[in-house]
Amino acid sequence: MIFISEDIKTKVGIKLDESDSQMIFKCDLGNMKVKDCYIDEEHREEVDMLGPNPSRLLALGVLGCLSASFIFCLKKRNFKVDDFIAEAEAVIARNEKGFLRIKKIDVNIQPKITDPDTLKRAKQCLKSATDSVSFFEQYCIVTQSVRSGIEVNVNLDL
Amino acid sequence: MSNELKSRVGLHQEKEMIFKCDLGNLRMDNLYIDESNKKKNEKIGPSPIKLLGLSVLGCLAASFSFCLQKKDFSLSELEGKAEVTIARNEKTFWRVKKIDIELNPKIDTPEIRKRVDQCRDFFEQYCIISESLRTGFEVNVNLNF
Repeated sequence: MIFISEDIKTKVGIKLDESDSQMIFKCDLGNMKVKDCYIDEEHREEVDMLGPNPSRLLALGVLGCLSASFIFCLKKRNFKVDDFIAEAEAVIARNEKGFLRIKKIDVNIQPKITDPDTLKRAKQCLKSATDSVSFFEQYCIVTQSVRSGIEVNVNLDL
Repeated sequence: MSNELKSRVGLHQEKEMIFKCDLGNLRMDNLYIDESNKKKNEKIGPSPIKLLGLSVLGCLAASFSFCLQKKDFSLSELEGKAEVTIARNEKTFWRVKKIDIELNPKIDTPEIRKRVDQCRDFFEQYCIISESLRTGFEVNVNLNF
């Protein structure tokens, strides 16, 4: 891929948690107002997990990015949703060499829109921009960047 | 081929481009994704780009730690850093150009050093995330010890 602009860099850090576990990490998010952020690859049961595992974090990155892109597309014309929920499912399977890999991420976005003008704008946001990808998806950096390696299926219920 | 494993996450709009994450029954129930606030000290959660960086970093750190654990070694300290670089592509859309990862384990004994040397060659293969993403952009890993 050819890049034509200056770079923008974003930093994050982690540190091994002080517990006996060797697979739980505390996030370093700088000065953000975030209390306890942990990445937990130790526990398998949800009720025991102190934080998301890396697969869930990736799914959240894709989901959050697509959600923000859709809201931003409406906001550009001063429209708002009545309510908004979305979910993502990351599917992991072994490749031909036997290694586990993320096979696909299925995203389902469910905005609640009652105003006809907002609905009209939402449909515009769904129209294809370039490469048969909708406007709001094209503006989602994370999804479009991971798509070379991972299938991302997006369903937006209007 | 094996059966598939599935992980689900969700979110709910809190305000504009701030979303509260739904992580099911996890003990962490206050994670937000914040694309509204631009100043770091006003943000109440990471951006999606930071989540991507944390995902790759956490996965590689866990794979490295797991490799040591397989031979009953444990680390007293392990720090990691990820830097996600984005730039505009030829169609002027912002895309991830590369992710640079730095892992800094504290090596306490010569035995651990020997095992770390062995892990260096293959721990990345066991990271589900970085290896799934590498066809799209560079993930550079620097293991310092």
